[in-house]
Amino acid sequence: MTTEARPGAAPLVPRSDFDAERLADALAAELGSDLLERTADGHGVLCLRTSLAGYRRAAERLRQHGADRLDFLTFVDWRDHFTLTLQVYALGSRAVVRLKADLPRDGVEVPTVSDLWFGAGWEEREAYDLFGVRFAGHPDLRRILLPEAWHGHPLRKDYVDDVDISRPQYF
Amino acid sequence: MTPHDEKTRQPQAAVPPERLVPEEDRGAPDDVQDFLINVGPHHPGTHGVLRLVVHLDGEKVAGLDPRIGYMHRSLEKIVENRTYHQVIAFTDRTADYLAAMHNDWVYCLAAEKLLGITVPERAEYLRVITGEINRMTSHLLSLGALGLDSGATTYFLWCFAARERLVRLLEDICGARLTYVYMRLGGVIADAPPGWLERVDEVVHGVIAELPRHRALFHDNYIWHQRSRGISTLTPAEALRIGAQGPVLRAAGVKWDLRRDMPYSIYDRFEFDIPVGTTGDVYDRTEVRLQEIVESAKIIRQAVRDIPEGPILAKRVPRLPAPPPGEVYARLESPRGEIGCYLVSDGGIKPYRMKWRGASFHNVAMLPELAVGYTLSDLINIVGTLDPVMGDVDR
Repeated sequence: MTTEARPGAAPLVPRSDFDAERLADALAAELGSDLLERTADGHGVLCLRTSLAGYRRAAERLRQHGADRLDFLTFVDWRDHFTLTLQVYALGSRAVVRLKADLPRDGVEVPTVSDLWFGAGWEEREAYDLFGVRFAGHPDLRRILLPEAWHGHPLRKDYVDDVDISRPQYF
Repeated sequence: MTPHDEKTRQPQAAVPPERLVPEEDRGAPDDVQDFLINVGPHHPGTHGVLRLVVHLDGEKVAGLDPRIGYMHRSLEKIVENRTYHQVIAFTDRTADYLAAMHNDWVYCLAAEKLLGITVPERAEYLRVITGEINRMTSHLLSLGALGLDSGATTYFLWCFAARERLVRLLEDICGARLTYVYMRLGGVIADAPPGWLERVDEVVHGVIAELPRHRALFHDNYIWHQRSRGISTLTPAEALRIGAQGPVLRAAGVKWDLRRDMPYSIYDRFEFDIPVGTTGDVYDRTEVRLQEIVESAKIIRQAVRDIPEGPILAKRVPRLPAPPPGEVYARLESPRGEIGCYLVSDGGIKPYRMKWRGASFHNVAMLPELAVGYTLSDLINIVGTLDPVMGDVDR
């Protein structure tokens, strides 16, 4: 910075030896049959699919190995099941890991990761608000974008809007 | 007048306060300082419809709960009912409308990955030039609005006068001043009009030449120093813990910019610095923004110098694209931090699912971490330096 230099304040250039492949090997050894799939998406992202039971442990290992940066946490509604998707990377590396877990559409709670990544707190609130899946252990699970009294969870594919103010769709 | 006793004509003793107010309503003496107030949702200091439930201890912020969602339009649901081309008109309005170029860009990056489209060289350069001009306008607006919040109206007007010249450049190339819809899948919609590229260099550097005057008026001003130095300081470790991003992260002293560290488009071809601060306070955040304007101008000058001739739109982009089933994620450095677009295709003509990572959403999420312990008047400046755009928070 061109203004006055304050001593002892050299910029921190993030460096990370985060190695997604090595992490995946360690996870495979630890989780065993809970690690269901391990693929690369062709754009530099390692995709790991775990069972819902192994999701929390996989997330903990990711965090311990240095994936300190949360990209997003969300669900995809496949009509017969949801897929929980969490994407993280390590600041200072270009390795990105996308962690996925399938779960039934109703009656299941997902373990929270809001204690591992600060940003996951609000992302989980948003996912709960828009999909209706509760996160077990979340300290402050309230609706975030919609009013508390809102009926339904809009991003579910079977959501029907009671208040139809939109024009007919083109497609 | 002091009441008198009717019979003795002597002044009555004043009624002690404990007899006027029933004991159960008096409260503990310490509670007198406690306040719970609402800032917003309609408040000039919150830069949109952000509502902050602030628990005040005297003048200090003791607790803070941001309430968002007043402008929620469910971008993610809308795009599930639009074709891939139609989405572009929504990303720049519904998400961060002050950096519409970047929002369109990140969506196009994701959709192009999904469709396997290669963008022509000239279009990449035009994207960089318009994107960096957009970054300059966004930073100027942010700084100007911060000046307005803290009483520097002249500075606000100067910033807007400078921004106006840059906005006119964007208007000349894409016809719009705010929501540009300039990017297309596979390139951009319009080539630079004759003489535009030369004018870009002239206007951008005209703006840069004015910045010392801005600095003298506002950034080096004694009053601003008093109000911003040491307010809301952030250490690098703390910044990483709360997932700070963009100028807030860099002001805390972490040298991280996706344009250099995870390059997208053609950013690896340009020489530019990443300004960083030392304390991460309000002052450093404005300083980083001011210097990023200069760095953007450097990139623009190199891009205008190197831009090749050629097509601006990829050939054979289908009118109704139906990408194969799959998922992609694209991220880029917007003026407010890292924005991203996660696209899932099921093979149909509409995105099956889109998840938008808004930079402002995460910035507002960390507001309690930054503002607790400072005064209410500081809170307005802290919100201003996080530069939240409610369109991006609520989507």
